[in-house]
This record gives sequence, C-alpha cells and structure tokens, in this order.
Amino acid sequence: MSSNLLPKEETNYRALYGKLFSGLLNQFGANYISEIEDAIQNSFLKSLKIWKQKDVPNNKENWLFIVALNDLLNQIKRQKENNNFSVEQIEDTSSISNETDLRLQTIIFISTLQSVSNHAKIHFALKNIFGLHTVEISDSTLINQEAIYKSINRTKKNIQLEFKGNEIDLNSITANQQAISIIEEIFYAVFNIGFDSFSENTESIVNEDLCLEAFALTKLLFNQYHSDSTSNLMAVFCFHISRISAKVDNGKLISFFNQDRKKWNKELLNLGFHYLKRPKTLSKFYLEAVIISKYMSVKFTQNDWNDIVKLYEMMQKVSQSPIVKMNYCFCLSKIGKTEKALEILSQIEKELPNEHMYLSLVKARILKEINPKESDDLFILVMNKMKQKIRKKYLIENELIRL
Amino acid sequence: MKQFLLLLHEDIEKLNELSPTEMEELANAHMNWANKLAEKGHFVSGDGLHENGVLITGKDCVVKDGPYLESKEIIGGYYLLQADDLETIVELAKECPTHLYGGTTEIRPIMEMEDYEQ
Repeated sequence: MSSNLLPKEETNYRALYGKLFSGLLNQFGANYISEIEDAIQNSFLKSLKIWKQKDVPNNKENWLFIVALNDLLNQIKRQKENNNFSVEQIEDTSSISNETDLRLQTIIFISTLQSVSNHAKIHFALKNIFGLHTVEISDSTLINQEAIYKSINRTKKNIQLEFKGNEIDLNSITANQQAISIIEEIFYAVFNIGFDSFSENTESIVNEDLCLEAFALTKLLFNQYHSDSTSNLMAVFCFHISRISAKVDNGKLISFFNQDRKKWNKELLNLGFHYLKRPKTLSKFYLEAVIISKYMSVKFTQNDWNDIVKLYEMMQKVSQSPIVKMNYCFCLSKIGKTEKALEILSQIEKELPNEHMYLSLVKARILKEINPKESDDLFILVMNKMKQKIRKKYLIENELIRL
Repeated sequence: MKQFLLLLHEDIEKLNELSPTEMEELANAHMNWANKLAEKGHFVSGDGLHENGVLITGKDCVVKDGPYLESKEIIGGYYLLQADDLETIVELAKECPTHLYGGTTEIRPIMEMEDYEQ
C-alpha cells in the first residue's frame, strides 16, 4: 500500500502531519505516541526558523521528515536509561522513508482498537492523521476543547496499555465491517469540516484540500473492501464536491437554491449516481446521498419537500445526530408543519451548547414568517459570532435587509 | 544605505499552540517575505536562532546556559536589512510575519560613524 495521495511539489503541513505520524508509528510502535507528536511539532517549529533564510531545501517534505525522525531518535535516546530500550533497535532507520503513505492503514489500526470508544477513535484520527487542531475538532463535534484534549490523551494511554510495547505492523491489519463504519464516520467528519470552513484566517468558505483528502482516502478504502456503505459515502462526497465552484460568485456566498446549476460539475454528479448503491438494510449514507440528489434534481417542486421529510424520518431510525434532526425541522417548516418543527427544535436545544450557531440559524429561518422580531434577534446573534466577512455579509444582505 | 537589525521576539508557547496549517502559513509567510525583501534589495541576511545558548557574565567569566529570560518570549530569529531610512524599514516590517502570529518585531538601526559624530 504505497499510494501517494499528496501532490509531490506541494507540502501541506496538515496532511504531512498524518503521513509522518503513520510512518513513525509503524516504525517505533505505540510506546512513543507522545514523543512522535512532539517530534513532528518540533520539526514544524524548526521549519519556521530555517525558512527565514532565503535558501529553502528543495524537498521540504523530506527535510521535515528527517528533522522529525532525528528529533524522535534523540528523545528516545535520552530516555533509554530509564527503560531498557536498546539503541541498536532504533538505529536502523534505513527502512523508514516518507515515500509510503500509511495513513489509511493507521486509520484502520485506530478503528480496530479494543479499548477505545468510537468517539475517542474519531477524535484521535482527526488530530493525528488529519492534523486538525482541537479547536477545529471541537467546532465540528460539538464537544468542548478540554474534553477533546482529554479524550486524545486517554486514547494514547489506552493504545500503550493494549499493545504493551509490542510492535505494530500496520500493513498486516485488516478492517471488519464495524471498523469500516468507524473509518467512514472519520472521513465523513473530515469532509464536513472541510466543506464548511469557518476559519477567520482564510476567507475561503470551503477547505478543499480537506474535502479532497477525505475523498481520496475513502476511495482507497472502497478499493480495498468494496463495502456498499463506503460506495454511498463516495456518492455523498461527489454530490457535494460538484457544487463547490457554485458556492461563491463575485465574492458573495450563494445559497443552495440560488446557485447557478450550470456551474455544478456534471461529471462528479454522474459519478455520484454511479456510486449510489441501494443497500440491503437502511443506511445513513445512502439516505443522505438520496436526499442530496433530490435537492439537486432538475426541477425541485413542493412535492420534493414531502419526500425529503419522509427520508429524514427514515434517517432518524439510523442516526441520532442533532444535525439530522435540525435539517428535518427545517423541511417540516417547508411543508407547513412549523409548530411541530419548533417543538422538536426546543428539545434539541437542550442537548446542544448554548447559542449553537446552526440551531440558531435553522430556528431563525423557521421563525422568519411567524415571528420576525425573534428571527432577527437570532440572525444578529449568529452574525456577531461569525468570524468570516463573507458569511456576515450574506446574513445581512439575505436575511436582515428587507427590500 | 543604512542597515537595520530586526529582532523577532517570539512567544514559544503560542507558537506551540498553532495548528499544522497555521504553522505552514507562518513558514510560507516568512519565506515569501524574505524573498520579497531580497527582490527589492533590502535583504542582507536573516536566520532563525536556537532556543538554547550560553551566557557569559562578570569578570570571572561565569558561563551559564540559556534560556536567557524568565519570560516566555525569546528572540527566535533576526533579519539584517538595508534601506535609505527608518520609515522605509518600518513600512516593510509591518508585513513581518512574526507579529502577525503573536510575536513582536523590534527594529534597531545599526550605528554608523556619522551617528557617533553627532
């Protein structure tokens, strides 16, 4: 398994983090997870210093890899008096290179762990394979930063206990259906974090590299295991990615129904239908793919709302996600069941952190006709929390200014 | 042309908290900035500095290991630049990536003979 997912010339620290982590974990084993994390962090910090000079190494990725490797070796050597690790064992690093990409194998390894909860597996992979910050993980999982931090640390300890210093051969690990479901959840989370980027540092509303990475790794997973659910997840990704170029026009955010459909990528749309597979039992990704394809169908009519409401009702049998419930509420309001929608929303409100952004938006939209004052207050609340100008502007122009 | 030393005071704790993407942006920002300075003929030299070093004090030459300050901010790097006047350097230094990521950029004009004479 040595597919190279990263474009050669381009060093992307976030993806590189996962690649380095996987390679070093494979070589040094579970006892050194913390040291591996530190080594990668240190190599990135050192790059800040060296990049100040005009002469930058030709192969940045290789340079970062060597620096991380040496840092890790130094850390281990310093510890060797305390635990009886023979230096010879680690001196032979000739077999390690940064050419092989072991990320999928590492994700499979994480998913098959016995002693770690499914949520914790996802947090761990988001940080160490996709190089995401606890802030980003917190935003997308609705769990506070402190809890994410603790969850990741606990996972590290559990992995060490589970393997007791035994070597890990990442290449020999295979995934069962349960592990595949967890891996799919990880890719789904990564994709969603990328598809709606709220980062104030980048003005971009889509973090395309995250979306494409999730897509590429899902494809690898599908090629290895040919699971229907993975295929349906691919369909979800295809439908979404096909719309990326239509999401912004002239520096303005364009909402779904106002997008120029000619800008949607036809090939990806067709590819989405190609991956859509009717499963034997009800499946979350299948339903989600069907819902998106309905939204994207050529002539969207009032009747489609009825269908989508039914699909969301089926979806809730297989997914407990509050996001699914919120989407359901929005669709309910579209078929005139506003009262019911608000009732469910007030239930969800109790489960979520205060002033949750997406919930406030959904509620504001539903209230728009029946209680404009409360609706406006909610939109203003959300707008003040939005860090990106383009999103603020969208809310002002589309929701708050009445023509 | 006069020369100016830019001292980059960096907050190690803050740097450590950056996400990989932010680190990449910072590294690229430094590279681009150094290139831009070089293209315009302002760049003389610039390097990162190790966090650890040695301090020698007193007549007895007491040798101590760094870090030098109790504070978490240390000088993480320097640039030696040249320009006609301080104003030009200040304008250039406003784009120095260090202070955009929590650090401080200090500018010290290099003393010249004529400065002593005044």
